[in-house]
Amino acid sequence: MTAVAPDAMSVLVVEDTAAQRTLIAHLLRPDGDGRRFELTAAGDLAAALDQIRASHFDAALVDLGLPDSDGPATVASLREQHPDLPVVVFTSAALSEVADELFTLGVQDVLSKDTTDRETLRSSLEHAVRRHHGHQRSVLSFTDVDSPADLQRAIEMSADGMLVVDEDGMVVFANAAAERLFEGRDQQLVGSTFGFPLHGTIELVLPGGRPCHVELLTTWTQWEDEDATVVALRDVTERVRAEQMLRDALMLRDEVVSIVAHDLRSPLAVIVGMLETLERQVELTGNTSELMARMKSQAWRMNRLIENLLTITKLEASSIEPERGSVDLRDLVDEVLGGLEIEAPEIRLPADLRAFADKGHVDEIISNFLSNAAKYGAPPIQIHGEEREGAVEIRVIDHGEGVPEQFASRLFERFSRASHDTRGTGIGLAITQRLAGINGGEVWYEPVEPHGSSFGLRLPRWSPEDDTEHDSAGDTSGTQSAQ
Amino acid sequence: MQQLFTLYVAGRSGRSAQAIAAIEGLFRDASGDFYLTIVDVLEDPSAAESERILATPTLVRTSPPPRQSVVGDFRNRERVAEAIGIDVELAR
Repeated sequence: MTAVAPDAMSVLVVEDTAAQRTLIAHLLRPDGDGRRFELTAAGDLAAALDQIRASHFDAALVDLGLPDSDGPATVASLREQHPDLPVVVFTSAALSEVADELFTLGVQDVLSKDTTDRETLRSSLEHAVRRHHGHQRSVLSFTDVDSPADLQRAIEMSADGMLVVDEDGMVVFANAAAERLFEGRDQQLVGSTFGFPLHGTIELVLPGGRPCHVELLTTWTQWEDEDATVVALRDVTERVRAEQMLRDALMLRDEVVSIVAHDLRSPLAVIVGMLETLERQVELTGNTSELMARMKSQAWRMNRLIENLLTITKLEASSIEPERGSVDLRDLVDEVLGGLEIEAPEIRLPADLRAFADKGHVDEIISNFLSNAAKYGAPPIQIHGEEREGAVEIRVIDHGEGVPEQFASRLFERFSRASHDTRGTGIGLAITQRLAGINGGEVWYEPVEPHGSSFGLRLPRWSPEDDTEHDSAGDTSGTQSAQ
Repeated sequence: MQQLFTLYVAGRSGRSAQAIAAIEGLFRDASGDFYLTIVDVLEDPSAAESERILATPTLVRTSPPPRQSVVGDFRNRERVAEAIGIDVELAR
């Protein structure tokens, strides 16, 4: 590899898919007069950490879903071991849920793979490096301070807005950058009451309601022989706006999905109805009856997909409330098996294993696990349940090929499915995860030795007090979710 | 004795909603007689101006004196309680 050109930025690309790495290289290709990027790739978190130890990077561009690490944990490890390296997250994971957490971890920017173009990516990386170093300078200057005069000079010079606030929350000093942040206000900053400052993001009150979000950081100090707090105010308006846009975009997507799904439902119902009438009224022979059967099965499949889309958008909007009560898992499994056309599995469930949950939701989750096992796995299929640490657990095990390792960490994400497989819709498992979540439980996947899959569901155990606390005692089967 | 508080927020969503929930929760779980007024500075800019509020969310104890205020992230209830000097045993 050639030496990095003096004006080039060295970026570590932490991304497990080759296609995505190629895309990033394409987005950051030399464009003549702009900044040059020298890219180094790492396929997983371990490789990334090795690379950072071995050479210097100006920034890291990180995908959240890696084979050996998933979600904000990926960023947490990087930040913990290399706090000096600016991190930009570039991912397709459901961003709205984790964006806040990522910024708390000190990530410079969060970009969505679906919407980021060449310019956004390039300028995000440049800003990340500049902001990160600016921040380091202002922090460093404080550690060099050993006299009050030095402290005042450091505060005056800081690029961030700095206020010194006394014990009553009154501003006793403001630097030039702080005055600029509050520009346009009539009153003097010094002498105003700011309030006792607590870490966090706040919004400044400015003339005309002009929005300005700042991140507030505090340090204790002595100011003119009195206890005081130094408040650093960093303008994060752009970042907050970007986060909001991201959230809006995701909400809009969910809304569109929901509207489309609704609108598709009625014409599809007409098609299914007419197919059935046709089947009754017309004498079908050989090939035609085969075609008819396929049309019907595809129409039903589409119906399932639509129902699933509606369920997931409702779950995302948290408009589904579980009606929790006692659910006997053995009875439930028998019911579920009665409705599925699959080979009888081997069942090992203790008697009286009861979960405190919405029966319809548990039904949905177990049905999903079982039909997946039948569709993608191989017999023998086993259902095991037990009580553990105040919870009940039930596992559906098959002995097929199992889930490819690189895919396992994304199994429960929306619209994800193993790439070679086009049979599923990639929604079923995402639904199980959210249904388990609203019932106070969780779902998980484990590989089975030597080969196969195990899908687990853990729910709170039912106890007699649950019924006295809740009116919806006993056999609650109410649910709005898809069957 | 009743203690009067005013909470200044910008809008009612996102961080403002979080701040309102945090303070209402704090007053619900703390022992004492609290009365909370919520002022949205986007709806009522003059209120913030006359009280010289610099940022949101800010919680001000208006009575009894001395007037005390706190600004920032209110999700850490213990810190908020400490900052505005409500000497309370948190129920949880």
